[in-house]
Order: sequence, then C-alpha cells, then structure tokens
Amino acid sequence: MKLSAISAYSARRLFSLRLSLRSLRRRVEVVFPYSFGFASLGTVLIGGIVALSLATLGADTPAAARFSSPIELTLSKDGARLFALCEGTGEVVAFDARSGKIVRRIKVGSVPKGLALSPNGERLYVANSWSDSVSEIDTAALAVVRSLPAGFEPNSVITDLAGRFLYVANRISNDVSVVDLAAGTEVKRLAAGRGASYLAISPDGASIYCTHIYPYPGDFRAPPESDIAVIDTARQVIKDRYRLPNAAGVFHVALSADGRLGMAAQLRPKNLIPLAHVEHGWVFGNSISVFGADVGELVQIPLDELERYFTPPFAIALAPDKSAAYISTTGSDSVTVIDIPRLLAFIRAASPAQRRTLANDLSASANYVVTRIAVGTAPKGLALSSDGKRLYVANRTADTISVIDTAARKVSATFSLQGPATLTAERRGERLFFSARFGFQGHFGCANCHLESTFDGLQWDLEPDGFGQDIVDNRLLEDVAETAPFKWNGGNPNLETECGPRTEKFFYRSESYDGWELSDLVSYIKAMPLRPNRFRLAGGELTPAQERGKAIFERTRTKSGAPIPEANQCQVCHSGKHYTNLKMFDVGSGKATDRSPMVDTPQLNNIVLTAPYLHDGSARTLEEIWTVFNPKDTHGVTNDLQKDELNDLIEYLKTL
Amino acid sequence: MFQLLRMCAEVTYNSRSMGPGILFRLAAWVAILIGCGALRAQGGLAASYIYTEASLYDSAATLKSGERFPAGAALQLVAAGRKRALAPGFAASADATVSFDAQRVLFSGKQKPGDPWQIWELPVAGGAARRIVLSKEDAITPFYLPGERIVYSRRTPAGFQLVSVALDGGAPLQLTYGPGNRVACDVLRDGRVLFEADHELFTVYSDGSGVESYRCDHGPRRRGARELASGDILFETGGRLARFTSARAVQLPVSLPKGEYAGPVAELSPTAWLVSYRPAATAPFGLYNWRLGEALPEKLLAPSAQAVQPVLVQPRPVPKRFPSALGDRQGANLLCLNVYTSKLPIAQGSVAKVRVWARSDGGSPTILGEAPVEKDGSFFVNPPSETAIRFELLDRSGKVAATEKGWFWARRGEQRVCVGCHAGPERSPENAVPQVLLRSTEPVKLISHGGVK
Repeated sequence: MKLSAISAYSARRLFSLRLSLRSLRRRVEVVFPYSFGFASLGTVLIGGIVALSLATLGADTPAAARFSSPIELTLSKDGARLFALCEGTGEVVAFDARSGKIVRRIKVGSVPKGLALSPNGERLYVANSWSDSVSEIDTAALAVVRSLPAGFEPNSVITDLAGRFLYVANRISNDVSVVDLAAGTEVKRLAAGRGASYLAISPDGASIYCTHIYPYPGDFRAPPESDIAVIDTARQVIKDRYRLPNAAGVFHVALSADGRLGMAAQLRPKNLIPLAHVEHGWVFGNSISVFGADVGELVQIPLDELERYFTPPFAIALAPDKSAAYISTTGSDSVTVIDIPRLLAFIRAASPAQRRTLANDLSASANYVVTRIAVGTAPKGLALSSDGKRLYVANRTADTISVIDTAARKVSATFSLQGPATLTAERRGERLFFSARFGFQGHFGCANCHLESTFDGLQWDLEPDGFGQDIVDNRLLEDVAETAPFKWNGGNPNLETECGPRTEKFFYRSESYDGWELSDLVSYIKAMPLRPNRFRLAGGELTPAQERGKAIFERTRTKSGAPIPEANQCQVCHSGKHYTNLKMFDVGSGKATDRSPMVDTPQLNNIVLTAPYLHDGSARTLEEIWTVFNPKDTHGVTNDLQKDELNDLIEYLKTL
Repeated sequence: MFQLLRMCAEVTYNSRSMGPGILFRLAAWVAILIGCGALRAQGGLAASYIYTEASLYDSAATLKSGERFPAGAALQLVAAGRKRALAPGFAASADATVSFDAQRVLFSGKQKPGDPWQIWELPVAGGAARRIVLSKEDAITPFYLPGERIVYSRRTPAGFQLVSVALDGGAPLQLTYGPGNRVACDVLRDGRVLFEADHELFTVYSDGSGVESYRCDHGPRRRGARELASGDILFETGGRLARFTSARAVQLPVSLPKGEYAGPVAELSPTAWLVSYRPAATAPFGLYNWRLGEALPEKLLAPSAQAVQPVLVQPRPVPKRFPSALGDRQGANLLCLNVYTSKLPIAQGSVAKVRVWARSDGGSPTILGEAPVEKDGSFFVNPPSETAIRFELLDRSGKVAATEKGWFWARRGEQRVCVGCHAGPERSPENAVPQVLLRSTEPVKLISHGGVK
C-alpha cells in the first residue's frame, strides 16, 4: 500500500474511532479539521503511523463493511416468506415472514433495484441495475436459475398475469423491455418516460403502468413534466399516458384490487421560484397522483402539512379492501397512512378549480391522512400481506425491516438484515444524505434534489445571488471527489464548503450538520462510484462513429485546416480522468441574468445521462450546446461541423 | 411520567437517526431514570414547577401598553410538594421561563416597586440573580433562544417590541417594527419566535426576518400561546383554550370543563396539562392538573391569589438555531408571485398596480410609491427595511381593489417571496417563473404617480 493510500485510510479509521466519542461531541463544539490533504511528507508519515497503530488494534478494512441496504420487498404467495432485495450487498434475503428469521441469502447481480413474484409464485425476478440483467430465482430452491436480458439500468420488473412475459423498466435507456419468459429473450422495447423506473399491473392484467424519475427536458425554465405510461399488455404497446404536470421524481405506482384507483408517489419541485425561504412548502410538494375510474380526471394531492413535511414519497401499498393506502416517505423515516374512502369523498367534493390547486393546499391532507408511523431510517419498499394486516417496510439505511400491525397502526416487530455492527463514516454520511431532518421543519434533504444519489434534471433559482439570477442546473454527484472546485461558479473550493454552512443558510434555512456530521456526509459523497458506462463496447474499443467523434473531440485544426487555439480545443479544457481541467472559463454561454460569464468546466463522465446541459440547463440536448449556444465558436470550434459530425461527437461523448 | 417516557422515546429515536451514539443514549436514559425517581419521591404532581402569584392579573394589559400585575407579582417554585418564593429579594417577579437544561430561570423582575421590569436570570437551585437586560423601560416576557441568546419584549414609544440579546450582553437586536405591542409567547422548536400582537399570533425568525401571522383564520383574541410536544400551539382565547395543529389552517377548540382559563398552559404529559383555571369569574385563578378528557381538573393550589404562568422545571429540547441569511443590500427585496392567489375576491386580470404604504412609529401612513403588477399577478419591489409597510392593489382606473389590513416589515437585506395577497400559510406556491423576473431581476422602482422607470 502506498504511503498516500495509508494516510487516506488512516484518516478514515480516525473517523471510525470517533464513534465512541459521539456523545461528547454534542457537548463540545469541536471544530474538526475538515480537510485531509496530507500534503506534506511529515503529515503522510504521521498518517502512516496512525494507520499501522490501528492495524495492530485489529481494525477491519473498509472493504469489509458492506451494508445490505434493503430497498424493495415482496411476499411469497402464501405469505410465509418475505423477500428483501438488498441494493448494497446485491442479494435477495429470504425471511420467515412471521419470525423474522433469515432463511437464505441469494446472490444476484450488481446494485439490484427491483423485484417481482411470478403469478404462480414459483419464480422471483430481480432487476440488476448495474448488470443490465434480470435474475430469475426459483422460490422453492431459493436459487438463481437463469439470467434474462434487459435494457440499460433495469430498475423494476413485473410479469403479465399469465406469466408469459416479463416487463422491465430501464432507467438509462428510458424504455420497457418485453421479455418472452419461455424463450428467455427480449422481444420488444417500448418507449417510456425519462428514467423509466417503476411498474404496476392492473388487476385484470390488461394494463401495466410505468413511471419515470426524471422529468422530460422541456423548454428552458418551463415547469417540469412527467407522465405515467400505460402499456396495453395484449398488444404490447403504449396505449396511453397520464400527464403529471409540475411533477418530477415519480416513484412507485400502485393499483387497487378492483382496478378503479391508481396512485403514484411523486415530488412537485418548486424550482422555478426563488428559493428565498423554506416554509409553506416552498421547495417541494410531496404528493400523490390519484387516477382511475374512482376519481375521473387525474388529481394531485399533497401529503404535507403546514408545519411538517413527509418527503420524498417512494412506495405505495393499497389495502386489499381499499380502506387504506400506505406510503413510505424516505427522508422523514415514516409511513403515511391515508384513509381511502375519506380521500375519495374529499376529491369528489372538490370543484374542478379546487382539484387543480389541491396539491398546493397544505391543509388538505388533514382530510384524508390518518396517521404517520415512525419506522427505521430511509424507508423504501413496502409489502402488504394478502389479508392487509401486516405491512413490511424496508428501512434502507437502517438495514432493518419494520413490521407494522395495520390495525394498531404501530410497528409490531423489526427484522434485522444483520449487517456490519459498526457504521462507517460513509454509511453515517449516507444516512444523513437521505434524511430530511436537517431542512426547516423536515422539509427536504440532499436526496430530494439528488434523487437516489444522482440528480433531478432540474434548474433551480437559488437566493443568495438575488431573484432570477444565476439559474443553476443540478449535476450528477458520482465520482466528484477529484473535481473541485464545486458549484457552477466554482465558488466552493471543497465539498465541505459546498455542503456545510452554505447549505444550512441558503437551502435548509435551519441548523444542520455539525462538523462531524459534515465530515461523514462528505465521506459518503466522495465514495459515490461512477455507474458503468453503457455505450462502450465490451472490449473497450470504439465503434466507427465513436472513433470519428473522438477525432473531432481531439482535433487541433478545423476542417479547413486552420489551427484551433489551444484554449478552444475540446480536449484541453475537458481533459484528464474526469474530462475537466478544473478551471473556469467564459465559453459564451452566460446569460444576461448571470452575474458572471465564467463557469467551472464540468466533468463529462456519463454526461449523456444528465440532460439538460450548460450551467443553467438551457441546452436541452448535447447538440444544442453547439447548434444554439455556440454561435461564435467560443465553446470549442463546432460551427464547421455538419449534423452527422455532431452526431459522431455525441456518440463519442456517450463513451466518457 | 408520560412526559419522561416520551422524552426517552425521543432521545432514542433521535439518537438512532444520528448514528450509533450509544454513550449519548445511555447517558440520556440514566438522566431520565434519575429524573423519574426524583419525581416519584415528590408525590402528587410529580414535576417541579414555577408560577406567578399576583393579587391582580390582566393578561391582555400588555397589548394595551398597560400593566398586567398592577398590584405586583411574585414567582413561586413548587418542588417536592413545597412552595417557596423563587426571587425573594425582588419587589416583583413574573414571566418565568426555564433553560433547556432546566438549571436556570429567566424572568422579569423589579428590585424596587418603582423600577421598570427588567430581565434577570437565576439558578433553579438557588443563588444570586443576574441582571441580563438593563433598560430604562419595561423589559418583560423573556425566552431562551439557542446559542446563549434570549428574546424579550421591550417597551418603546411605539409599544412593546421584541428584542434579542446575548445572555452575556452585547448589542440588542430589535426584531419587530412599527406601532403596536408585540409580546413574546414562546420559542418554537423550529427556531421561530412566537409572539402575540393585535390579539393574533405571529412568528418571526430570530434575526427579525420572515414575520407573518401563524394562521389566517382570524379567530377571536388569542394570547398566552405555548408549543406542545406534539408541535401544536395551545393558547387562550376568550377565557377558553384552543389550539393550532400542523395539519389544519384553522383554530381547533379544546373540549374543556366549564370555567375560565388563563394562558399559558404547562404540558405535564401528552394527556395532562397544568392550567390556570377558575370555575367561576368571581374566583381567582388557581393551578389545576387537568387530565385531558376528564370532567373536572384537579386542584393543586388553593387560590388565595391569582396563580398564573405555570412553567415546568424540566429539561426540554433545544430549538433549532436559525442561520440568518440577510444580505448586504439596502432595503428589502419583496416579490409577490401572484396577487390573485388570495382569500379575497380579487378578479383575475383586474389588478394593474401595487401601492406601497409606510408608517413611522408615531406618524401617519404615507405612500412610498407604486409599481406595476404583471399579468400573472407578480410584482417585485424594494421598500425600506425596518419600517412598517403594507400593500394596496389598484385596478386600471386607480381604484383600490384590495388593501392589506395589517402592517408588516422586513429586515435590511432580507429577500422574501409571498405566494399571493392574503393567500394564507396553507397555500404553497405554484411552480412558475414570475413574469416580473423575466422582465428584470432587479426590483421595480417605486414611483409616486404615472409610469415606471
């Protein structure tokens, strides 16, 4: 191990050691040295000595700490077995649903995100989001028996009622794969929404509903738009789309047993108005889209109250008798319970005008929310027993399953995934990242904008620069540790500045992280890996189009042979491992509302995923960067390129 | 006991979400168990408490610039079943509030009968009182803020105003402005200061920004408000008690035994309150333990005098610190998203301009100027800060379409956005770029008459 690695490791161990000091830290306002630069040789040596000392104490390696992170749940057909899909360890954990005893751990693919049981209960399907595959599990043998194909980043799976076809929502390829289960082959792709994510089937099997977590890239500074795509399972086509105005970040969708009521969990961001304060639901509306024959036209209802917020709504389970809806709210560590008859009566009594503005009425939830049940940290997936009496809740960052007695509306038991006994700094930081308790009145947390640790595809009007000024596009957080400075104007030299007092003052508007917590949070963010690139060939070689694009990216002369100034070559500013030279430039994309035209050179890894582009999100596509916002060739020389050449350039950028 | 168990649950719950603070949790449990033992030993009402004893009490006097205790008052501490004067060296003492760790008491007191009320602090366990605020005018109703600061109400020529100051001194920071009386009621756990004015409840951040009414249901006179552990705001209104809940935009009645109540109330547990109560208006207020739902409250103190302002001597959560974000700019930038989002009947498209009024502490209202209202109902202005202002909407003929009844203010450098005009706190904003910001990101200059520069 290199000395620098040892020193970095020793720093992490120092963080771990402080566990026993956490009680002290609340009493003593310790200003913790945030930066572990270890620039000097002396510091490196000290770090090494500390690391060796820790080794003699029997400290485990960071790699040993893998946390289960249960994210989705489902029950066996007879209800005797509970299957927990664990994103962190890449496994399905089979529990005895009554006792909570672990029966088997079944290894599946990388970063699994979704699971579903076959109609006859004999098979369990798991969407492996980073493996681009679906694992098929024999529920009797509790073993993987087959791997099935999927699109890019499969996130959710469901079968038709006959069990003949498997539908897979693919988050990166924005579509739904239709897989013939007899043949084990993909037979069709259906275009779904951007970031296609969650699926539900109607009780009659005629329709499958698909949500998407990223809004469509629309006009600059226009309200975000999302929808629910409805698949006709007989014809295997998209037959309808429910429009979800002003929604972005749509998660699970569920249908009632009679098929007359549908509900989708969603965020309604307030990204177009200045974020001058937080009260009155100023930043997010936590909402449910209600649709189906029971309500007629789709209506969006709020989950929040005037002084308390329940965010972000993620999974929904509907009682078999349609008496109640259960919604997990990840950042609020709770499950919201809705009385469905009261909800339907309330909606039916509302005038058309009231229905249109209902989502913005923070007093509305009093008419249908009956309680909030505290569960573990970061509740995600839900599974309701067939009799509706037991609700299971996957507490992602607690590595537990809460069992709720739905009659008593209380947690009656907690199952453990039996993860590492000691939390690491990264894990503590992950808990903080997903928690909304630091925002004023628990309004929101990091994960509200960085959905599932990514981005939200939105542009925000932040307050400190004034109203309507310096509109900023949200950026992907993966692999950002070495890309300082941060923020589009490069104003934050490190992540501690980015996430610390600035976040407290201008985002949360409330006392937030202490020095230790901030350090944990930064540890988590720095540890976020870059997801696999889907556009590179398996062997790493480039396609002909990508090769041509690479040549354009690296060219030093225009097509006419004129030299391109070094500062105006793509490869110069977008250089290095992350395709950024970490410097500020005026590339001519500044707007009249920007205080300065200088922008931080963004990293380009996985750039194709994060539309829209430019510092303010004004370019809806990569192509628009050059065809709309680069008239004077100030952002690289691109005006001599033809359409097909720009396409080649895009093909290359996809591989970064 | 319920209160302590609830605290146990909260400590455990909060610790769990913070991380593995095992030592912290253990320490908290030990402290709470010790507390339980101590309370058991006292018998009767387990908790120690402080209240104000006075022969005369007018709870509404401050809002009329009057004196609540015209015949004097004395703080009493009841602990282990015994009562003693908390501040025996004072000619008058009232308005007790207990520090978050339950070790100190903040109160308003007069050393001599002719002195103005001043803010003092003393240890619960006994000892010398320390003067926190020295003022030539009355300083009353102090409350602890996080970060070793307090907020209190100071008499000024314009009426009682809220002021914040560090416990160890320093320059006081005025939080409220304009004519009228404002009296602090509580510091909410989210960090806002709750106060009463014009017989209504308001909140303001600890830097004086973000002032607004707590609800816009315009009920009868409200005073003596306190935040309960549930987050509900419990207050007195017309001699009865009522509450605001987080879920509702309107006041909810509390089903009470017959009789008259004087706020504030001390919460013994989620199911029991320590209340100032009298069965009939002819009797003085006594202290009673009322278990919610029971027909009659249990008498704790024989009412030889008025017994009011009960407060428990027990630890409580420290409210969140508010990180002030006031910028270094003149005046305050005030943006209204849509004047048509309103409880008032303002016809869509009818409003052409907004007129801004100002009022000095002693003076009459004056017009600061007018600014256009965009088609979408938005406007953006920069009135002076620390000055009472209000808006008036004008139609195309210059006729007043709607008038704001109350006065409010903003701090220097404050940037604030309203959903609409009298939209109510339950109304969250619609997500759309206000047209006025598409025209310019600078506030529109107010002019006296005619067009806009």
